Amino acid sequence: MNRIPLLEGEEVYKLIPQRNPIVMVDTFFCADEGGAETGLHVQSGNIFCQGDVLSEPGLIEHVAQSAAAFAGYLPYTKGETPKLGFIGEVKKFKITRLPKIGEFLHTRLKVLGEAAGVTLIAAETISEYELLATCQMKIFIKED
Amino acid sequence: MIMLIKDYYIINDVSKGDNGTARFDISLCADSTIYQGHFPGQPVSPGVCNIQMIKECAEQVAGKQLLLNNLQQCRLTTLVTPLKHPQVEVIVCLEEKGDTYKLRATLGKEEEVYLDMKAELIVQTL
Repeated sequence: MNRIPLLEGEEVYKLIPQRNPIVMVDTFFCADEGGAETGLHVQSGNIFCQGDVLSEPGLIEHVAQSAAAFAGYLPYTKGETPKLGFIGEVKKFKITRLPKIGEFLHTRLKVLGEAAGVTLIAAETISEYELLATCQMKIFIKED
Repeated sequence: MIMLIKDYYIINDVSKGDNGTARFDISLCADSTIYQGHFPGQPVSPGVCNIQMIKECAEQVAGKQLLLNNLQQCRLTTLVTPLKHPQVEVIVCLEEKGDTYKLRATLGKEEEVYLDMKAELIVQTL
């Protein structure tokens, strides 16, 4: 596991178009053509927290923005601004446990396929060594 | 029932049918704080917020707090924005099977479907 991030905190804004109060990735570890690794510190002010846990939409949005950050990484290395990305489909999203405030989510994305502006990814989110959620997602990137 | 993002939508009317079906007439609020960041100067309703809204509608039908622990499929076919789509309809069909609820739901307006989903939920024990 790669524990030294490439980008942290607001540096991740270079990769994603989302801004507060809906920024759901605060760590970007690495990326190559096959996927990426991202992270999020679950903090109490998070808009998707209910009581002391991060609710389901927060987990889904974290994966979606991880995919957005992955898509934004190549433009970023060329000095371009991130493009808007949208979820087209979420599939097989399974949650074993909702994360608590204070936990750090580490997500691994794998590209399963790409065609005509649509990227199909598989993701798994862990906290320490515990698997919390897995899913597949289709992401559309809006070309200007 | 608890609303996760309090200023995101308003339920104007609910019509409950037989065996776990219900229709919710909803207004999406363009001044929700979520649009400050999604996206700055270009409000787009986050797909996950619409999924959460549907879950909250299902909780109203069940009369219980539920955990969406298996979202089998959710297709988001139309980009929903609070300016283009201020009024929407959520139709849920909830079936209780032991300790699991099977949910089929759509978000749309009249004949048009913007989002459809199939999921399993369990009663939330906190």
